[in-house]
Amino acid sequence: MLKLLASRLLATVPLMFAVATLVFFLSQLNPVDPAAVALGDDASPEAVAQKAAELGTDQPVFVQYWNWLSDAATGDLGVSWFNGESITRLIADRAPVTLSMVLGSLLIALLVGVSFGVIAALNTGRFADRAITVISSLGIAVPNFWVGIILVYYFAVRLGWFPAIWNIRRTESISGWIHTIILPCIALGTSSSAAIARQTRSSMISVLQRDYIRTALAKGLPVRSVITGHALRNAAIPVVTLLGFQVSALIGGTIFVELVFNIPGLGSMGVEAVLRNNTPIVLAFVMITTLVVVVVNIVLDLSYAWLNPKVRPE
Amino acid sequence: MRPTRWFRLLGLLLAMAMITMSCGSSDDDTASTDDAGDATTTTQAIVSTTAASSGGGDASEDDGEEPADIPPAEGTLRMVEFSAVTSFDPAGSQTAQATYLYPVYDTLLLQDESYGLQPNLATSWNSPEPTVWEFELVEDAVFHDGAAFDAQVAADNLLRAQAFEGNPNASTWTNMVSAEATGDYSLRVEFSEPQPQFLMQMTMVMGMMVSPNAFGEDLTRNPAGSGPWIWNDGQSQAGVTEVYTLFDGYWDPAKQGVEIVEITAVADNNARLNAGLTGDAEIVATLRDAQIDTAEAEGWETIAVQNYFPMIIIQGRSGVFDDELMDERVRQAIGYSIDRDAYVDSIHDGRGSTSGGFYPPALGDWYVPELDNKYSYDPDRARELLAEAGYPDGITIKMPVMPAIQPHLEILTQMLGASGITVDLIQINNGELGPRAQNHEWDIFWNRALQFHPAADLANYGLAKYNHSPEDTADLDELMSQAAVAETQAEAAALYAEVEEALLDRGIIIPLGHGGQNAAWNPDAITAPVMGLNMQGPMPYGVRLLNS
Repeated sequence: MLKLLASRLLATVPLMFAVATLVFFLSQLNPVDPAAVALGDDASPEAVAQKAAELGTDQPVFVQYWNWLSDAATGDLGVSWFNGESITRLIADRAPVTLSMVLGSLLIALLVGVSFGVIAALNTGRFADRAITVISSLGIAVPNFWVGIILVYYFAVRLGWFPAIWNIRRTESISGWIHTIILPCIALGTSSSAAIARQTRSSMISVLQRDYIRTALAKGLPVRSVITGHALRNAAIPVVTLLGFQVSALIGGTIFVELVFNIPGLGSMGVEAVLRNNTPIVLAFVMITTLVVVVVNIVLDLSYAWLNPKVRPE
Repeated sequence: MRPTRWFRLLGLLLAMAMITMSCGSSDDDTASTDDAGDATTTTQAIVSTTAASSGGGDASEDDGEEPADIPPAEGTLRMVEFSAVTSFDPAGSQTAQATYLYPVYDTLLLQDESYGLQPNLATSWNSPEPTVWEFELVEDAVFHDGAAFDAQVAADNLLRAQAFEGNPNASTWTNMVSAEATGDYSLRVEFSEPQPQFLMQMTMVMGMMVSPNAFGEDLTRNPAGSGPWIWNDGQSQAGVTEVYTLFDGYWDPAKQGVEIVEITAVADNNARLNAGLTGDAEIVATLRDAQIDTAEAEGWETIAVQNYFPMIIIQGRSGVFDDELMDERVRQAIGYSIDRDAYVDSIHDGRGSTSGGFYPPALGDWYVPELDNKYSYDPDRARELLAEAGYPDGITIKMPVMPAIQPHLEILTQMLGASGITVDLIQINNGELGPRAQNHEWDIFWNRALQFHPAADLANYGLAKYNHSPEDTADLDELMSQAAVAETQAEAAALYAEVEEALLDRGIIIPLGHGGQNAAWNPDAITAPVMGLNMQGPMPYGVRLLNS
């Protein structure tokens, strides 16, 4: 298992380098002059030139690349072109917010998705199965930001049960933090819940038809223990695979949900950076996202091995 | 659960979704970030932008208030803004960012609710000759770091702003010859040309005073002012919320109505208004036109400062790019092609002025009623003029468009197309319009200005900054010079009106109506704030919580 972990971790190094290089040069294709954007429409060409020199964007592209890469390798991701804030500090401030949202929505997705999937599988062809199928189709089709807008309108603006936006004072306490991210987590986790419910349903139906399930039931084991002890664990492998994709989707989804709820996470940071052509932040955002996805996939590889002894390395 | 219950649940969910889609809070994607408001919704009066500008001002009438009469500052004032602050250095800030800087910096002068000038660090001012401004300054102001404020510090601040590389407001300082202390608290500023707009500029970021101890330091995330509140680094989070705490040694406690000011950046329009409606903010800045009704229906007061002026500028009239634009009749045809009513309806949700002049009625001092219907929408007349100019089949012109102004150009393209003028749109990126226009990459382009004084406004968009055919405006420069030294405001206004009419008749500027900067505040929670010209949000000065 350790060998598997070590090989996966080693593989991330060239991957991160390749991603960094690709993203850097892709960002150079953007014709926007960040100095002009930083100073606004009313700036004179001389002021723009001065700003470009200050930002270093007047340097040859390979010089810029080397400067950025050598700094990034030492953990220095540079500073925001617009307010001079350290990007490392920005990420340190924002990563916990986004990660808590992703984890919260993943938890909701697992709880709701697996529960609904099992209920549907145990009631195949009946009303509950059909209703869950319709609801999960709806859940997949509806964009998460739209769900977010509905949730804000009813539960924050109309009913006042939850806050409409992030508030740094309210989120100083754990309870305040949780209270603030409940609606965003529901908005973010809706489509994942639906996808997991559908996958769990089909996987459970397949497993429930296996001989060993029939044997276990014939031996007189209680249905509950057959489902939780035998069927669910074996049905979980495709769900875990799906979970890997869902984590990536959830990270992507934070971009929209964070805007709706004005949450100061990595997603909103990335969007703002893209809109303002704040290239150092865009680069950092892509690198961090890549790293998270790679780590999640390593964890999933390890969980396969835990769930299925047949795929464990010698 | 029985099947009927499932259906009821599904039905309820669908109904909720449909209701939300039909009555959801508004989102005006077509408007620019600083769109218009309606004169009927404004809580501010017709303006007097020249108050005391020529005869001098005096703070003596405000001097009677004893500090003992002022109740202590209490509570937290929370504001939400469209964008985060990019720099706390006044010399490196755009005027639109001033909301974040007002708590921490003092300006030499202030604007009141009628956009008139009020004393602040400068207690009085006068202009002994057209190119000179003299100020008497307060004697008890100190900076947050303990440095004393005096005339030498003020002079050094002006010189610092003039020398600041990359200053977005560099035009303020272009003609400044000297800034010097003529006494401990007497400041003299001299220009090479008259600067009647200088007083109003001293109410904006250009008039903010930085501590002398901070000269040479990077103030981007390290403000050093003398304002009523001190920026709190520990409680602030860059790009999210800026927190300001009370400055105990402040020289004018009347401005300190609250202990803490919090300004949070909320980029999404709906989220920003929702923050107010759910009690997370007392002031919502950068309110969209289409959100005004929603805010007012919830019992909020709105402020609309109508100094947003969208226009078409024909800066090149010598045939560098579009030969057709050399003919004045063609340029006038463009003016007749613009349906300002439709434009204001579409861009400003019908809230704004459709005046054909440069200033709307809300900017009373400079408003010229005679220009209201100048070049009113008349596509037939436009086609006649084109035919007279030798283009009976119409013309094709090139105009730049960037994503932020796409809706404006789409409307203009349709309007001009109806008169036989085809617009060939050139795609550029956000932020490039101004610098590239100054480089004369197009003869004609859409632009907007936040107006505050004709001396600056007309130079900005018609005569200097965006003028690549100065040979046909030389006579107007002379009128501008006369207006700058006019003895009375009425005389100056008449001369500026003459310039405006000439710019219209010569087809140099095509007005597209007027909009404004909007903000909303909760009258159940706070006392009325004041928002001036060129501000994206109200100033926090003197605002008090009602329930504290």
